[in-house]
This record gives sequence, C-alpha cells and structure tokens, in this order.
Amino acid sequence: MDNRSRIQQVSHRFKLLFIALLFIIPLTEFVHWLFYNQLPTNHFFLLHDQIKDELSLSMRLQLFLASLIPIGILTYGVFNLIKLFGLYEKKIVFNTENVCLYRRLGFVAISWVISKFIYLPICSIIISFHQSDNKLSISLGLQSVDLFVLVTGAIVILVSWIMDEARRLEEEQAYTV
Amino acid sequence: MAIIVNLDVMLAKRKMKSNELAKRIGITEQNLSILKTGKAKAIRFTTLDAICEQLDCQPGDLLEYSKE
Repeated sequence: MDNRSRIQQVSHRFKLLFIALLFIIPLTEFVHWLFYNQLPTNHFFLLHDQIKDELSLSMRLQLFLASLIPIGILTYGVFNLIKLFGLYEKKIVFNTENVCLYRRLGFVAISWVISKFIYLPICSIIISFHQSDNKLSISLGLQSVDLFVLVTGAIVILVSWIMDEARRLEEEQAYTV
Repeated sequence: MAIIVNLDVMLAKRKMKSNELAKRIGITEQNLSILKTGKAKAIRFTTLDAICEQLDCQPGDLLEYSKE
C-alpha cells in the first residue's frame, strides 16, 4: 500500500469518528445537564462545589445554553476536521481549502479557550442567582490544558502557513511539463 | 507571462497533431495542453529536448520572450 492510499484509508476512519463526535459531543452535554442531579458528586463540571441545592430544570437549561458557547465552537472544529479528512480521503492533500481548514482549526482552538474563559463566569452567575444564600459570585479560571490548547492552536496556524508553501510548490509541480 | 510558447505554430509547420507529439515524447496530452496554452510554470530540459528532437527545431523556435 502506498503512502497516499494509507492516508486515504486512515482519513476515512477519522472522518467517520469525527462524524460520530459531531453528534456525540452536544448530546453528551445535553444528557449531562439533563441528569445532573443524578450524577455522582465528583464529575467534570468545575463549579460543582459552588452548587449547594439541587438544580432546577430551568437552571439546568440555562447552564446547558451557556455550555453551548464552548460546545458550539468545539463542534465547529469537529465539523472542519470532517471536511479536512474528507479532502484527504479524496487524496487532496495540498490545496487552498486544506490550508484554509488548518488556519480555521487553529483559530477554533484559540477561540475554544477564550469561550471556556467566558463560559465559567456565566455559569457562576447563573448558579449564584439560583442559590438559596443569594450571594453573587463570579468564577474565572484557566487550566493547564487550556494553555496547552492555546499553544497548539498557535502552532496549527503556523502549520497552515507552512501548508500554504507546500500548496504553492505542488501547484508549481503540477504546472511543470 | 512574458515567455510565449509557440508550440502550436511549430506543430502546424510540421503538420503534427498534439496527441501524436504527446505520445512520441512520452507526456500526457493534458500536460502538452498546459504547455500549449501557456499555463506551464516550468519546462524540463528533458521535455524540451524531446520536443525539439521530434519537431526538428531549436528551443528558440518554441519559446519567445516579449515585453509585457
């Protein structure tokens, strides 16, 4: 099997995986908020410790809507990955569209970190408005993983510039007789 | 581009069809068309050599420089 065929085959699998994730990610988030009160105490929500009372349906709905900010950006990133692996599947490796998708993915990664930074205070406001003690608290936070994603996003943007050079070379190669 | 490819002129002079030349020099008709229509960004010496041999001409007969 030559390299291009291998790229084609693996890309097809990745495309299927990301198509599945496109539905799984928002669905998981929805299920998470729907069954929040039934979940074990130490789950993924960072502000879990701030929640003293059981969350009402309207509050869970508000938190779900707030979570759509980072989830929306993440889903958009997954959508772009599907498009990218779709191009690889068609053996289109160095193309203007590939370069655009890489650049977009880099910006999506950076936007995702920013959205998470916004998401946390929004959630803390929603929670504090509904808590019985009536205290308003705003939480801000960045995790090490966010910094990692931020750096990765910047690297992906740099890679998109390198890909653009590769595209130029391939275009030149295609028009060399 | 300031370089003009006069391949079609030479083909007419030699009364040879593009597909025949493509077959003789071992390149695809599509690539020869790129060359004929002036879309080519570069030409290999091996290709130029083969064209000159088949059309019995000089590189200067195929390529011409004109100020834009």
